[in-house]
Amino acid sequence: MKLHLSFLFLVSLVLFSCEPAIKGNERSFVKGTVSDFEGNAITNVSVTARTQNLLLGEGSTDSNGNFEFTSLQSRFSEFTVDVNAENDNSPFGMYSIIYSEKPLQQSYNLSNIILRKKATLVFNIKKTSTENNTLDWSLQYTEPNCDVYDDEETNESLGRCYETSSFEGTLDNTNPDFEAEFPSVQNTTVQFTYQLNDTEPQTISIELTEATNFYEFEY
Amino acid sequence: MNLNIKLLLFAICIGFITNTYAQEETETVEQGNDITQDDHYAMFKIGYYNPIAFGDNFANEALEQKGGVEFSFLANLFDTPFLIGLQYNYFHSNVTNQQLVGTYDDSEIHSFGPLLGYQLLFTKTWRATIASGVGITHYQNRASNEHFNDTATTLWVIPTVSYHFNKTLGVYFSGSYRRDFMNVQTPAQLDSFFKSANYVSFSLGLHILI
Repeated sequence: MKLHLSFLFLVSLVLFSCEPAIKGNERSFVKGTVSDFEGNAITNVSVTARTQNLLLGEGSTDSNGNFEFTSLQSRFSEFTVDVNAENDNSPFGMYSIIYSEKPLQQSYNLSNIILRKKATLVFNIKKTSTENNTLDWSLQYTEPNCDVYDDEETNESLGRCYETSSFEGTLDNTNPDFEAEFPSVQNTTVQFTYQLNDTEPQTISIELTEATNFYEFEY
Repeated sequence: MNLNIKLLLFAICIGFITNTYAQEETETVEQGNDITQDDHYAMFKIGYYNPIAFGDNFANEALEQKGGVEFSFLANLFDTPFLIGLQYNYFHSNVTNQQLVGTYDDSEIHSFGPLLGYQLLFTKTWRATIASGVGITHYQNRASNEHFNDTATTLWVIPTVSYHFNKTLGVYFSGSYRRDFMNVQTPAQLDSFFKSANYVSFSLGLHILI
């Protein structure tokens, strides 16, 4: 009896696992427009449709920033359209539109997707003083990517679109220096706040005007 | 592909051998009218099958057809020229434009269905038939680690000419029309593109008459 049950379980497991993740006899159509923050069309930006790690469709923008492609449909409820996800060398950040709960549609019209230019802040803190100082510091900067949930009952709190992110640390004699690169958005401001020992906190605004920006702070 | 060519060469060799044998036999025996004695017969075809898509549809715009094989059987009804039988064919297609069809790599296309036909003419060495049928087709599509099936209802119109080396064995050539009426559900923008696939198919192979 146990043997029979095990056999049935194995057969059902094999049958279940063999069910294709991609639906046959169904296709979706994805189209839209991609532009920069100033409203200029962006050409040759890759756009992909996926569910989990399964690539379902892909295309790229033309000279007017328009894209359209056919996508397969999966059996999973989530469907994500990634814009500019496959090019680390692109000057623009990534944009994702996530359909998580909405029943799968056959046509996705993503009217105007705005990509913002990436900027990198090369940030250095160096201890030059010989005194025994402690530096508490933090950076607030804009994230370069945008994840938008597009559901019928939109839960905006789930999305993260060019949100402000922060990073903080403490430096002293045992750990005196810090160096890191922060990915952010061009033409935004990074707020650097520091407090040396027990003095009043100070804030410095760092404008990210270039693709790569350098800032060094000495204490 | 290699298998198909080997099969064809094998068929031609067999044809010549049996033809030579048959000629020797008929020299010693009275010239027979073996092939013209055609009261009741069955025909088998097996050969190389090469469909070429045309028109504004996914098969022509986004897939590249490779060769395959076909097998068919036709028998006449009640000693008349009317024929009834079955057809199976298979071919392979590579996806050349994933933007138009989705991200998968290739398709193996299997079709099966009944045929109705008519024998247009026959002589000692030549036969011409036309057959038509409606069958089922499976597009077995493969992505990198996944597979899925599209299905279709297929209409064939298949004129065939065959040359016989002897009573039983010959070679045939066929240039046929094929239309796959797809069951793929799409939004309105893609409807006509996925509605059907049109092919002109050429096939060549062994013709066996019993």
